[in-house]
Amino acid sequence: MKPILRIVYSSMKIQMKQTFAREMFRYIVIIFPLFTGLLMGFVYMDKSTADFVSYAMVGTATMTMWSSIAFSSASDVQRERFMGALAQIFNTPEKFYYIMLGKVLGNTLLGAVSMVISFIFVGAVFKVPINIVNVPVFLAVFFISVVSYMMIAMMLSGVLAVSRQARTLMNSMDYIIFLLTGSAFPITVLPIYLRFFSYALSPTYAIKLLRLAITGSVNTSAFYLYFVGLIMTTVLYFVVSLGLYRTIELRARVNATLEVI
Amino acid sequence: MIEVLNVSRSFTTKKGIIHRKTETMKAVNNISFSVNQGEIFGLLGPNGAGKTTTIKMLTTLLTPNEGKITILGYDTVKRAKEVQKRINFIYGGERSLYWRLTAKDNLIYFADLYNIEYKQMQSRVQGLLKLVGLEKYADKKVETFSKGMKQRLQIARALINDPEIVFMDEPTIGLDPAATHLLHEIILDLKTRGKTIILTTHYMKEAEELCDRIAFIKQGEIVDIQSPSAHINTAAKNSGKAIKSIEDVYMHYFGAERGVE
Ligand SMILES: Nc1ncnc2c1ncn2[C@@H]1O[C@H](COP(=O)(O)OP(=O)(O)O)[C@@H](O)[C@H]1O
Ligand SMILES: [Mg+2]
Repeated sequence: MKPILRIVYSSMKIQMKQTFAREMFRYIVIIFPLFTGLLMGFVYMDKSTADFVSYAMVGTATMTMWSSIAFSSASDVQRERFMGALAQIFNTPEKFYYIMLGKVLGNTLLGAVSMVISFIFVGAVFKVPINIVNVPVFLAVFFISVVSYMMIAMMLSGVLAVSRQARTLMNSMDYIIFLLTGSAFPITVLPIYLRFFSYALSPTYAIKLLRLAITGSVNTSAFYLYFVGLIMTTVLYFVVSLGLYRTIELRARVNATLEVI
Repeated sequence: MIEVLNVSRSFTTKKGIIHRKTETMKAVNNISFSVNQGEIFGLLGPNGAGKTTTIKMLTTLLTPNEGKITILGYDTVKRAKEVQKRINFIYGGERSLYWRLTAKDNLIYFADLYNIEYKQMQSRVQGLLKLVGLEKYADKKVETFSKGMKQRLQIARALINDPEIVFMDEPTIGLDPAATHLLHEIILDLKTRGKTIILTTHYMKEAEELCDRIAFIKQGEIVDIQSPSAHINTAAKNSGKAIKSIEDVYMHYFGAERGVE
């Protein structure tokens, strides 16, 4: 295996092994998604099937994925800092970026598992026929959104690796994303100035695209517009995360930010 | 092997909540020394003298503010990756390991990060576990280990890339006599294999028995660098007192700092 692939792969493996060994694991990966799913299911119970699938199911799935990718990745950095392993892995010859990418990938796989669980669970409890009109487009968009969330996770973990204050930001991040991206309700109910932020967040586009794939309206100008939005935000996150990690490699050594004290 | 030339490092800390003041203190002040291949080199001095800061700069974890460090011909700032491949380090205590993973998983992960050839990996991991007397505990989680066992695993981890130079910052702190003895044997064995060791310790006997040369460091500055016996002679001559050991030399330099006088 190429050194880079090896590092990504083994970091991913280590990440998953560590998560399985944690008590909180069951809550984050299974219980939390089920509760969110139930809650959203009740809210959208009386709405049309399309709305139900869009908000209760796709919305929950998005949230689940988001929590496990971004939130876990962020708290992992913190945990590693306290364990003293952050400095240790940082000082190995390969780029820190790949180690963190592996960790984020590990969280992504776990997130995918819990997402599928919640999707099937909500569908079964509310007896909704899951009717996705355009399955290939749905899967393609889903895949790109996951990549996009991983890039967000890379940006966040990068900020957390160098900043000790970023933790508070992280804890409120879940709700911010929940509200701004239209997971739970359409963003048109948000004030205009908040919608501006919505359009800088890739999950906003991902959710819209997934909905369009569900209803089959993929040959519309709206679809292409959102698709461009998703790709552009994702590329932007990728570039920012690369730049961020380059800065980290330099700054952490200058400012001594990798340790606890 | 190691060339340190006029190196200084200061830290800036922020004090106060309302009236934020920044304070700069010089942790290491214009130090120069060199270490030869196969040497065991000790850094001794009271808490806060700048030993750890020096080790961090040598291991590329911190950049010097001034001066230049060359390790195996590579500049520690400009060619950090090259340096990292060829060195390793232990910070005393139980940190820098993944407690939720087994001893073997920990070593394999670091073998991956250092890109150790697959063919060698299994035998090297087994060999290192044997070296530190943990082969029976290979598949036990680190969180079940005693402090001494964790520290021994740290030693194994630090040898995973077969480093040319091993840095040890208070490696025997809190170890029981048997574990201390084991570490001393490992250090001497590394020396016979041509490896170079840089060591800090608060145990004067340990330094006297192991080190080829000792640097005393006081408030970020090097007081004197010589072999243990030369230190004893110099201190005896300068003080006119009966100085028989490195402990006496230490007291000659730092005794007044106890705050008794
Ligand atoms: N990250 C840091 N931020 C601020 N001050 C630091 C930092 N690291 C070390 N120092 C200060 O630098 C001085 C030297 O510390 P250190 O090198 O750890 O000493 P030693 O290892 O000899 O006990 C101490 O006064 C310590 O408080
Ligand atoms: Mg120290």
